[in-house]
Amino acid sequence: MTRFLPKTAPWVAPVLVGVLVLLFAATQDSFYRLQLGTLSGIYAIAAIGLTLLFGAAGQISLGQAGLLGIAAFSTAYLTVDHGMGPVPAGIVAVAASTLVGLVLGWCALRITGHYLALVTLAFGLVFTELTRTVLPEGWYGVPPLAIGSLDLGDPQVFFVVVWAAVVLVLVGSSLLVRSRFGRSIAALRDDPVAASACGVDLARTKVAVFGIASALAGVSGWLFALYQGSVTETSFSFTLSFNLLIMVVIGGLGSPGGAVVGAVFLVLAPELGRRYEEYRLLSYGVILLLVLALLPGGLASIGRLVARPLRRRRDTPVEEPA
Amino acid sequence: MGGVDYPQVLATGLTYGVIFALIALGYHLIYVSSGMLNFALGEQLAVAGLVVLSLTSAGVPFVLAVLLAVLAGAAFGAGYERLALRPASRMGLIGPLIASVGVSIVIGQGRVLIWGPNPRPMDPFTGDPNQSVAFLGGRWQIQSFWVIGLAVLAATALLLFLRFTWYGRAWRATAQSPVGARLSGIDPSVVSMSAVATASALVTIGGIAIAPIVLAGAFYALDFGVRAFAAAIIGGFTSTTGVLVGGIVVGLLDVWLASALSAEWSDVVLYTGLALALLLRPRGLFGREGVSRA
Repeated sequence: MTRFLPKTAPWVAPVLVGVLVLLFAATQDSFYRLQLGTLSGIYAIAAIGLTLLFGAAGQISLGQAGLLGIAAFSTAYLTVDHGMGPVPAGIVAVAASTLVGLVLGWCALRITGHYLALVTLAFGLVFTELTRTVLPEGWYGVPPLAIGSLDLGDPQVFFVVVWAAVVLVLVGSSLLVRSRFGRSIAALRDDPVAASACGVDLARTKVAVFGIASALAGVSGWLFALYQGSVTETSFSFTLSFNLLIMVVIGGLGSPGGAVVGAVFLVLAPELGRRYEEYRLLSYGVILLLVLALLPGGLASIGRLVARPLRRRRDTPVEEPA
Repeated sequence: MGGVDYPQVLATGLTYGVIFALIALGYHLIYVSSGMLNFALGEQLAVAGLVVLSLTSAGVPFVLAVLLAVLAGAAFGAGYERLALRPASRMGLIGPLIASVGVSIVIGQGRVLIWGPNPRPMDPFTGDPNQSVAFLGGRWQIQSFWVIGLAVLAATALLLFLRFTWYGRAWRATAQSPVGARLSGIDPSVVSMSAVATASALVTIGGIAIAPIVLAGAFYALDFGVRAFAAAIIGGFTSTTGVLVGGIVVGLLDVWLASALSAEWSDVVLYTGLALALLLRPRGLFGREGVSRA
């Protein structure tokens, strides 16, 4: 197995992201670019969750879009139909997606690997079909973010709020990966038997990682509902689950900073070539395949590869495919 | 509700069922020979009809076009096993799964670029498109018999190949024990490549046969792919007979649910059932523990 644990100090990625974000917010007055920046931040949060789950803990999920969707639909339902404020609605929404995520985590206790991929895939598809059947109109008129009388809905402000959340999550997850809990997550991925022999409670660790990833997916879905102002089932299709997975893989499995890079890359890269809109998804597929074949450490590993080419060659043992 | 036309469910369900069975057989072949799960088969199935349509409109005789399409499908499968699935297996067993997701995105999007987003009608192999015959109390499209006939032929040929040829025995040996197979001079990587190629050829045959019924195009790729997963799971990924029976069961169940409830609810029930089946009996109805790799 490749070492997925990032080796840089825990504060490097968050500080870097923070500086870049402030620069971007200060210099951008284009509404469109701000919106794209906000969207990539929203996806980044879910991608960090997935990278903890998939990269750090080795538990695959092909149904993350369903968890985002649960939070987004709850937010829309509570704010539009019940006049709840965006923040209390957010708390309920995140709780709802976390709860469902814990159930998925419980499923992961019984099955692993491919079968877990299929169960989470089925979960995502059931969510899409159920919402399409039961709630085809979705909701419109979800209010923008506001805390009490403080309005945070202005695009520039909301952008900063979202990215502040990204930085917070980034710090939290970087610390988490390095904590005792993070090490038991890694042990769970690398060798469950050895991990449990060392006293790691496999079941609790697994379910907890699922809970964390789903809570982050929930935050992401909640922010998405506020950002979009409307919620329909098409935003949370299978494609989103795949895109999140691609973000995580191209960013470098298990690296929260890489997940952010992946999210920004996936949302912004097509904008560089907007004339080639029809090639957008195709290029995602190709990029995914190229990264898998040539750069298993993801974009996050490029820096390391450039910085220490010789050392790396000496350090890396020859890997025998299982 | 009520009023389900059971003979018709049998006619339509069996037609779809054998296609699910073919895809599931493809999953099974790849899974037992290499432990990989391949998402791309659904997209390959959906693109097969379009390839044949393009070939025939370029003046290639129909039978030759079908043969060329099946060969191209097999070559494509062998190619992406080498270039995409195998390199990704450095990430462990889940790597090829993600790579196959990438492959299916590339096929799906490539199809839109080449053939456009709209599905295209394809003539049945024989007879009039609107012609149907009464059989066992239901109306059967002529093409249904082609679908079932070709699927049975393809599956039988494959089973005979696995049982009676040296290559087939090499495959089964690899499935039972990759290490043991390697010690007997079998190269597991060749087995895995030819398994993906064979599975690709199988779904190409299925895709060409079903295209006159569902139109040639890929809007149903995911639906077919996931239903075939359900079939493979019901049968237990590791049992050849199991996945074939699973395909028929899912086909009948799907059409029955769709006519008793609605197409959307059929999806909901099927996918929930798929998840529950995995949770409650991960080995499927026919699967054996010994060969399981999950």
